[in-house]
Amino acid sequence: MNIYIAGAIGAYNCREEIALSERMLDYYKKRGHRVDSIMLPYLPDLRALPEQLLGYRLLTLDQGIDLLITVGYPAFALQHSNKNAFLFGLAPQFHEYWDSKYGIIIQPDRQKKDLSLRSTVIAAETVCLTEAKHVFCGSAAAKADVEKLGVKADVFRYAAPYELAETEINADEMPTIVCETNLEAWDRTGLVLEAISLASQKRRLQLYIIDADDMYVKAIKERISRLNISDKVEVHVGCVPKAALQSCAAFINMGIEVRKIPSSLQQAECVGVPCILAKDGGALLEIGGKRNIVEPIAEDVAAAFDELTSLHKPRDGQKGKTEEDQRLDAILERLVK
Amino acid sequence: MRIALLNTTTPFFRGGAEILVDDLAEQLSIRGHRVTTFRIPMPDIFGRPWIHMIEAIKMMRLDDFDRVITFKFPAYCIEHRNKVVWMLHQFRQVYELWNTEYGLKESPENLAQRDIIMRADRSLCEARHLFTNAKEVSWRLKKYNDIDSEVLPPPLKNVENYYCASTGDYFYYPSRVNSFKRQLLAVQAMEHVRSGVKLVISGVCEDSNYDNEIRSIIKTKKLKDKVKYDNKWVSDKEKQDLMAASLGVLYLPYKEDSCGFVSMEAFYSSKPLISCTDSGGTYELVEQGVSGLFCEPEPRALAAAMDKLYLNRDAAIQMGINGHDEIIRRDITWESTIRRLLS
Repeated sequence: MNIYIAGAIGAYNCREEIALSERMLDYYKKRGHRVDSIMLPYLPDLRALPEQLLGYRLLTLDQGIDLLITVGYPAFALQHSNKNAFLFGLAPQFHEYWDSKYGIIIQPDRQKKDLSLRSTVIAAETVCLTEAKHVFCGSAAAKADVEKLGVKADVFRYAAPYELAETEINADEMPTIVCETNLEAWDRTGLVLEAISLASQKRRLQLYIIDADDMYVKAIKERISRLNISDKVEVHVGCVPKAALQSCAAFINMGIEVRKIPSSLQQAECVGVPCILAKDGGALLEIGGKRNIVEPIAEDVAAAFDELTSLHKPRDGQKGKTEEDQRLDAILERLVK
Repeated sequence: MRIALLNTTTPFFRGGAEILVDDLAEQLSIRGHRVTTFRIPMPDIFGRPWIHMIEAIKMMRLDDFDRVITFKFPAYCIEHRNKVVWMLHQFRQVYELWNTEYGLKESPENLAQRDIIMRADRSLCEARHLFTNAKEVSWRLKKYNDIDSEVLPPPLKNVENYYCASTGDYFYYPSRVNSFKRQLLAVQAMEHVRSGVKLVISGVCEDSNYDNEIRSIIKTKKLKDKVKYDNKWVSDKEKQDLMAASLGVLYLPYKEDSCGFVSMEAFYSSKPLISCTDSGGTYELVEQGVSGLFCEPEPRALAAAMDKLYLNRDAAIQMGINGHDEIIRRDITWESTIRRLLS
């Protein structure tokens, strides 16, 4: 079968889309299918969204493609008679962040325009998703959003295979909390910094900034300095290395109403790292393993930090395929039947 | 720097342009840049789908990237404050291939399309820098669109892997197999060779008719002992080894824009190159009688050229050495290329 995998990504925060596309490419190639994979550009700019959706609609995909699999937002806007959409969420500013400080707050002078923009985007999303033979969402929370549009959807889960790295664990070392962030407003990194400043026990925070503009990185460093917590916080640019993840006392993610479960959180779950999550974390709460779910206020998060002990246990990494991976395999196989 | 590479591509197809873009992505990453490669699928048929594609690309946004580098029509229609075009070719079917067997035929509808495409090509003037991969492409851009550009030839990757082992008894032709590259011409020439020279062809042929034509000639003209042709890709190592042990290399495209990677590979392997008088960009690299031979695109003429080098191995070896000296002299490296693209 001729299979075309078309993903949509921006400049930031697209690890999961890339990993999923590569996974699918690898899966189908090994089974003898003719497969190709592309990435299309996407800018999460609200006002430019309708135009970008239209741009996707104008592309022709009929060149001997038997199966089109779209990955990410808004790749599902592509047209094909056998389209199957995988997505991690819809446009958050028009859905879970609508009329909030993380999205668009309706102002009296812009109300008509913003409402019109929203209804245009939602109408386009509905049309494009309705065309799909199947829609698969990366979390139950995202699935619920899609089903509000009247579109039936299923859940898939994919975490890239993780092999345990060699690490030395020092039981006397100060407990370390690892936080990975894109410095978006909904990541609530500021909340994590406040919490570490309030923690009464000695704790170290390793802040990994995966993907952010340099000026935001600079701004967060200045904030750390203003809070006088430079001795407690290490800032790194890039993804969490395995050694840090495996030896930390906890992994924290204070994202609000998240729809895309970050791969780092899935890895943390996989190696048995306790995760500190917010009650309003959305899809983040769908992960298993040891979790400490707290109110998203600095004092409660600080209390969670204080509870951590310095005891580290060696953790078993992921061996072979997980149950979710097998489920994804079953989905991919179904698409070519 | 955060860099987007934007190219157009035919689904399931991977040719020289795709390899070049991937090589550039790799070289930029090695130098510490954050690179994302985007590929826009091209429609099969001309007409409205192509026009829609121009509009689609104009609607796409890459604002979060510091620089955008584009390569082919109509990817370079993207709007960006720091757009650099490294043009591999325009939509040739409305320019030098217009009204030929390879291009669009004149008709009211095609004239309208041509007009739209030529207008879209004006977006090249928005670019921060406009490079082409060959003099031929720059010349066409000036002739048909009155736009100036700078030639920036694409470097070869891993040039240190090319070598010269021995001077064998065969000419080697590694490339995608299709009517543009004219492997059939090479096979037809083998019917007329008088020496013991042989031919080895490496490459994938997606066109089953063309593949059948080649196989039919080999069979009917009883060329099985003289021609080795398998419809499959060979690895880089296999290609380098076959080239290293060859007498010389053939590259016979029809009006190719650039000299082609094959020509450069031949010279890095110290092998002479035989090309055709209508092959286009190979003229930029090969010098008649010094580093290779040009012949008319006709089987007997090609056979004569192959025989000439087979029967005068010393001359073939010297041409190969001259070719090697020339490619080294030109200093086409990734370092200098990236410096220009990011300036």
